Amino acid sequence: MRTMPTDTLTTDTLVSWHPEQVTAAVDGQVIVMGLIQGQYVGLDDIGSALWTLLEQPQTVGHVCDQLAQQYRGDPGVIASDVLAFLEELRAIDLIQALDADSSAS
Amino acid sequence: MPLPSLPAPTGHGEPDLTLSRGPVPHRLQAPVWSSHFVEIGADGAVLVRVPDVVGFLVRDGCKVILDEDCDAETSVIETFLFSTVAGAVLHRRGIFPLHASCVMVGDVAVALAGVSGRGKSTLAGIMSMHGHDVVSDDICPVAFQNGRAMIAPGPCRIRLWPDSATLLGLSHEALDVGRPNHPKRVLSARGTDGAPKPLGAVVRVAIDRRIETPILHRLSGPSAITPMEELVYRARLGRRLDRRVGLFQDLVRLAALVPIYQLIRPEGSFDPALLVDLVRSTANSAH
Repeated sequence: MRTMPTDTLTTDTLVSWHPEQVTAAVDGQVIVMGLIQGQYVGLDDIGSALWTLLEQPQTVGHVCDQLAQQYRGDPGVIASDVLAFLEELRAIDLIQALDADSSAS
Repeated sequence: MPLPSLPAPTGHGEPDLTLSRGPVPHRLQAPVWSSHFVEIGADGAVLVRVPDVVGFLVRDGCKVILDEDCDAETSVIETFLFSTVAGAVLHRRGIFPLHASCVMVGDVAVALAGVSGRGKSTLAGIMSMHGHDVVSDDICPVAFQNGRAMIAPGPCRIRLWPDSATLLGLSHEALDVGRPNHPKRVLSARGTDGAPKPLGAVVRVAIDRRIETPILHRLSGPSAITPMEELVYRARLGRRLDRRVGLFQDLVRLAALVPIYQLIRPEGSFDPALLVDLVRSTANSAH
């Protein structure tokens, strides 16, 4: 799989944990430290659920669907929030966007 | 070299760290990292050099060399040995240095954590004056053994800013000097023996000028251990000594084993006994 670091994320983008990060949990909530920039992020319950989904490559749309099933909310709002959050995680190298075509082969 | 502030060792094994006088370079050749007083060499050696005061070289985390030309008083040597040098040794050995002063409450140790200036030493001084033995000041080396976090006792000397000494009702002039030309003074408190103490709670100390009464609450989730820099002694140095992941994992492990609280106290005058009661309550709830 090739990474696609520059494109803007869409619901079709395949995303997953960045290999250069360490994930741990405190009281059931996830905390992630990136090994490239050294930054870490503590996640709330919803963020932790999202993070768990990303252990295996998923499309952003699939992640949104999963969260919409777990947490009631407007699908459009969820998609918008998830995209914004994933962009933040990608900016600090905690997740990566993958080339969907090469992952399918 | 006498180190009168250290508790007497309780074990009978071989020493795992030697301190000796010897040649210490003024600067390291081609350091991979340097800050105001500290340099790290390509071989992992750490030089701690305060010009015209002291110089230490830490090798392999088990050998500390004090500059043979250093003529500083013992209390000055101890001040640096038990601060930056100890931090370098612990990071080099992969032992987690919690940035905290620590006191005994019953049969457990309670660590009073926080960056400099938040009042952890002041609070340790208050606890000491209310009868609690001091386990360490500023650095708590944490060892994880058999599912417990154990604190190795350090010097029972508490370094206080002048306003803290006043708050404790101590005459600033009557206290020892820890470091030349530095306003902090040293309170020699009653310490413990050298045996490791089980950690019962971590109390993160904060000051808030908007409140009038101290507040204690338990922290949970990632907020209990973030910002990590507030809980790790010389975190930047540790990261440079390849402890980035280890420090992260140790903090997560600590949070799993020990309750972590935040204690916020007013900035102005307050009843120290209130703080003492709140700190005591963290150890009681730990049982």
